[in-house]
Amino acid sequence: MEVFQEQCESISELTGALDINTVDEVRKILLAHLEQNTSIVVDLSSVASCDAAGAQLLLALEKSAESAGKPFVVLATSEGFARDCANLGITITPSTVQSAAKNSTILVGGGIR
Amino acid sequence: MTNMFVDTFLQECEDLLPEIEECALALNGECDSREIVGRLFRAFHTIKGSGAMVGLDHVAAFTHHVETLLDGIREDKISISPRVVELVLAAADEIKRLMVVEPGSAPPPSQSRENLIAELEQFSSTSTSTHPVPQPSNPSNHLPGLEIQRSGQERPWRIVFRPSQDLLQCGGNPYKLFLELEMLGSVDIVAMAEEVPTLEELDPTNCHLGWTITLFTAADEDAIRDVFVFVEDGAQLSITPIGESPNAQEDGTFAMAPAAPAQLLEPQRDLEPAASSKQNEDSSPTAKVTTKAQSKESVVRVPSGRLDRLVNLVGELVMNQSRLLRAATAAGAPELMHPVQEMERLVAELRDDVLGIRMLPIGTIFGRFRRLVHDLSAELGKEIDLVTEGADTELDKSILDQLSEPLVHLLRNSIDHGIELGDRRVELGKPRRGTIRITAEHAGSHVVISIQDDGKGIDRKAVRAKAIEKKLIATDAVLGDGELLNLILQPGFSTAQKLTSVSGRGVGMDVVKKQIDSLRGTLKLASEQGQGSRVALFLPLTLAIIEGLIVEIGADQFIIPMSAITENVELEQADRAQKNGRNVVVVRGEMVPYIDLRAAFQVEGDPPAIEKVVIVRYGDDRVGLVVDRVLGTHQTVLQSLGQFFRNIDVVSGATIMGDGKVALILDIASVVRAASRRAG
Repeated sequence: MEVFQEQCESISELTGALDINTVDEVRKILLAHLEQNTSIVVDLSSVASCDAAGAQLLLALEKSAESAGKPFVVLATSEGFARDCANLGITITPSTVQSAAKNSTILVGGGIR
Repeated sequence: MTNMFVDTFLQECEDLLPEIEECALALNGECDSREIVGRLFRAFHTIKGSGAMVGLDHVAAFTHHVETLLDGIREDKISISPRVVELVLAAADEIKRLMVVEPGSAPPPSQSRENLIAELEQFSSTSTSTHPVPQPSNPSNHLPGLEIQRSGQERPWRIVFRPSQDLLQCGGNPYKLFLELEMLGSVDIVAMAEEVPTLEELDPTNCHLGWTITLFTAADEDAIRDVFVFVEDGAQLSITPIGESPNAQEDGTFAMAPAAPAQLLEPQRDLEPAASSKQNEDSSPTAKVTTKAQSKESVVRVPSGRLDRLVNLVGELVMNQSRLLRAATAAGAPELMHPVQEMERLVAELRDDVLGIRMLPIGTIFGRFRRLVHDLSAELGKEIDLVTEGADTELDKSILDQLSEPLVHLLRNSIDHGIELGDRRVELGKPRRGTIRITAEHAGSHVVISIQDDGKGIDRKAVRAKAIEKKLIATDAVLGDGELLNLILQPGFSTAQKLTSVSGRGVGMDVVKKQIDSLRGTLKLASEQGQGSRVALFLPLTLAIIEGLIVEIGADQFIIPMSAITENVELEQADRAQKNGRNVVVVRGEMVPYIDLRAAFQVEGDPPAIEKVVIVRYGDDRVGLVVDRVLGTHQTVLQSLGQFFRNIDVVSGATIMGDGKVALILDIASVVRAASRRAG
């Protein structure tokens, strides 16, 4: 298990429903996150639910991180998010981050707090 | 967004419900009932699935009952009977009522609906459903569930599903499909993410995911395919029994590779990697890939208002092109002529294509006529067959929209007043079942639609007596057969004034004639007592374009529709004087009355010494329209005069000529009626 303690400048925490109604907004925020950080860490522990559009968005983020040579980490997932992804045939394996600075939260459908 | 999905669902239902009625009514015919039941099942299944998807759970729940009935028929557990047909029709009617209930709201209680459900369930109790109850969008609002029983030998199937990219935008939810599959058996679902682009390239509302599903079920391929029936458009769908796949092992089991350890966030590995390769899928002899986008043209729904605007814009383009050509000619610039002429060709092509978009086959309204004949003949205890011919004949949508009501009225007349009761027909030596025939065919720039029945025909004596009673004719009036028949088209022959598709009966034929007139069409009656009647409607292909004759009165130009013109003759001032002020012109020995348009339109100035009389048809009569000059023919896109001039009924529209002048297009029927009123 890799730990991205040193490289991680911020963690994006997604809250709310990650679905077709919110993916446009979240994509813009994640793009900014992707550009500004050398490693991509997302905390999904507050995602209430997720549909195919939401899961696809995270898969696209992972691809972007990979192609940019940036580490990609899923910090934690909520029960609802994991269940919804499993229902869609997608498995999530959260990594652990020992002491990442948690300074950024993406409000799904909202802004950054 | 929800409203948009509901609207899409309602539009889909508007297409499916007439198809359901048509199929149900065809069930008693000689067609292949298995295919019809299949079409019915798919239509109801689509309504059920789409209804659940947009939150109309009450529609989905109700539709499930009739779907179960049809499933029983498909499996030969329920036989087709007239009562089954009635139940299917009643179910379609009930869906129409339920469609208008707001998503998430409960429909008002209805005893008739409860009775219908009870009867559907009673029929279905002899059958066993293998189809799932749709999952409600609101989990707290559970549907009345049916126990899903699976019988027979379960076998593994591999399903490869790659939905169309717009699945998610259209409200599609793959998870709900998987839930439906779970009702058929146990499933393993593996997402395929190789086509998901990077975040930068992603349109997040498009679906780039695909799925490989392993399903263990006793259900057959049709039942599995039914799950995907409303998401098949533009999708790739392959359903393959694994026992028949090249990867199956000899003992009938199939190789299942253990799932590879997942990385940070990745789709589950395919349980059967070899079977999931695209190459293998394509080469598999049993693979059935459904790619509707490849096999049929994709269809885009466009509100008709947008098409109307497009037609108007093209109309303006045509008129401006005409002016451009005139200006280029006047400028005498040869270098301009070639591009202007090329532009003219392109504009003409564009105009024809745009007008073609509005053309719809008349068969799209035939479906409701079958239902009308079925219902009304049952109500009146008559046995009637409806025969339709020329369903592919195309007409402008705006004409079709306005044609439905007059046709419904004419059909009601035939059913109610034309066709006799079965016993009476047998006494008369006719077949017990009456026949009403609707035919549509092209005739030049017109479409002729005729409604013909083999009933008792129009009773001339009764018509004459009623006309005298209504004081439409004098008691001693001498009338030809055509004139006598046409009396039923006269205002006042019937007392009812409003035509509706619901009431219909008792409404005057004059209202029908008025509607046909407003479509620039004509109506002809023929009837033989004891043999039946025929009403022929002559309609223009489109209301948007008109071939006209340009005429001039003083400095004003007018257009007379070519379809009404029979010939032109000259009128000398001396001839006028000889008739002592009577407005008639002799054309090959026949006296033709004429209307002096200069006087009618109060155009100032003196007429030329030799005027032109344009002879037009008005019903069975001929009428002359006196103008100063005839300038030539002109094809134009009709432009509305707008609401400020809507009360001017003698003109049907206007067009802009090449020189920029506005020419009014005459409505012949209204011009003649106005002249008759003035003459008293």
